[in-house]
Amino acid sequence: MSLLAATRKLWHSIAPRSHSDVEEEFRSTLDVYQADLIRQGLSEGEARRKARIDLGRPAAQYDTYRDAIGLRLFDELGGDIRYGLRALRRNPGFASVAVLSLALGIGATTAMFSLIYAVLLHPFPYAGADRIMNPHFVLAQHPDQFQWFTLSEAQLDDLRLAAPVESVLGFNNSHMEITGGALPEDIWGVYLTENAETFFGVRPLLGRNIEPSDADNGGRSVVVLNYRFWQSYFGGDPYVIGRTLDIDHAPYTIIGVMPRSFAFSDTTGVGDVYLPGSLLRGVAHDPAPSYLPWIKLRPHVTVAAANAAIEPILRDIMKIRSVASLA
Amino acid sequence: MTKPVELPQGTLEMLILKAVSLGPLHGYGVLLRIQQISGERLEILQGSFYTAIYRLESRGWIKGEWSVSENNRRARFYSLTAAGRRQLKAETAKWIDMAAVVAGILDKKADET
Repeated sequence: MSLLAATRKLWHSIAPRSHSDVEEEFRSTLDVYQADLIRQGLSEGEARRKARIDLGRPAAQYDTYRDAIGLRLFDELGGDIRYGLRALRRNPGFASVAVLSLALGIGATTAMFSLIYAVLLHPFPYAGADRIMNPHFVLAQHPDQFQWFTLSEAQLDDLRLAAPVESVLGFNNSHMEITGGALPEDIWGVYLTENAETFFGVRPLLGRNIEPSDADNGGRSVVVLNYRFWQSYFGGDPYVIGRTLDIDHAPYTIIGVMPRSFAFSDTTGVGDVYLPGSLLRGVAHDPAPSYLPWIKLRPHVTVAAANAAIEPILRDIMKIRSVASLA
Repeated sequence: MTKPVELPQGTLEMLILKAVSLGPLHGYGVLLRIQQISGERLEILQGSFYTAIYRLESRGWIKGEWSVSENNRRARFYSLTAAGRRQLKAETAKWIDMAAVVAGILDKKADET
């Protein structure tokens, strides 16, 4: 079929003839046929009757027309929908039960799928999630036991120099208290090294994540909110950026909200708020802050190769007699 | 009078195209012309006739326009479009081809192999 013919066909099915147009043509045929019959010797009444029997009713002709050009399906579907709506209106009790069960069904399915999506299909939202390692020691005496370890800022820098390592994130979970409101509220705060934004590669839902400039002047008093905390404490307020949150009697400016999928740290507890790690020294009065490390390997580095390269470094910086291992 | 002939499926549309190609006609006129050309041997059911007309028009092979008939009546006159002319040509060639093949088979005598 040529393009022209296709367009014409489309035009004809979109703009078919009107009801009255089809009926008028049919009536004119009826009249001529009737006149013919009279010429053949029938009485007017007989001719009229025979014409009607042979040709059918003018009112029904439009259905024949719609059927012939293939619009019957739409007509029947439209009729079914109208009938359904009428039935629902006549019977509001049944209608509300039907709508409710549909809503519950859709809701349950959505919730189930969200869970499956989060747990099975897309567990970590981080960029290069398959290259992010959560390192722990395997002690020679107890090879079945893992042991997390913390590193100082200088040790993190040493680790960053290792060949298979692309970047290292340090984090430190702390209990905090929201003050300034009617009642204080306990929350989990997570201090992050200021490369957090590039390490995670997760686009914040609102505002921005913690970035290197937040380390300036001993750490800027800024805070990024976890999605659930934002929902529960701020009711999902879309204008929360720039507002102040009082934590442990000090004001912090809210600079970002993370998306729902961001649940850091997945291993040591999800934080309610995220803060620049440089604050540890000043605000938290910790002269030698320590961080749990996450390591992001360069692409195409095997875990075995990474183990081999990192183990001596960790041995050196930890000065302990154990075997370093990645998991 | 000769015996009436029943039309095989799908041939009615071809005949309508042919009748209209001889000059614009209103629906009933198309019917009469086909019957007349066939020597009154074709019995065409009025119901299926208009279905065929509508389908041809919606495919864009014929187009209908309101006009006044010979006895001063408003009627919808159909004429062949360019696409309809091509379609008629193709259908005619196909039909003649097929009829020749079928006739050739049916004409076979027992002694010829």
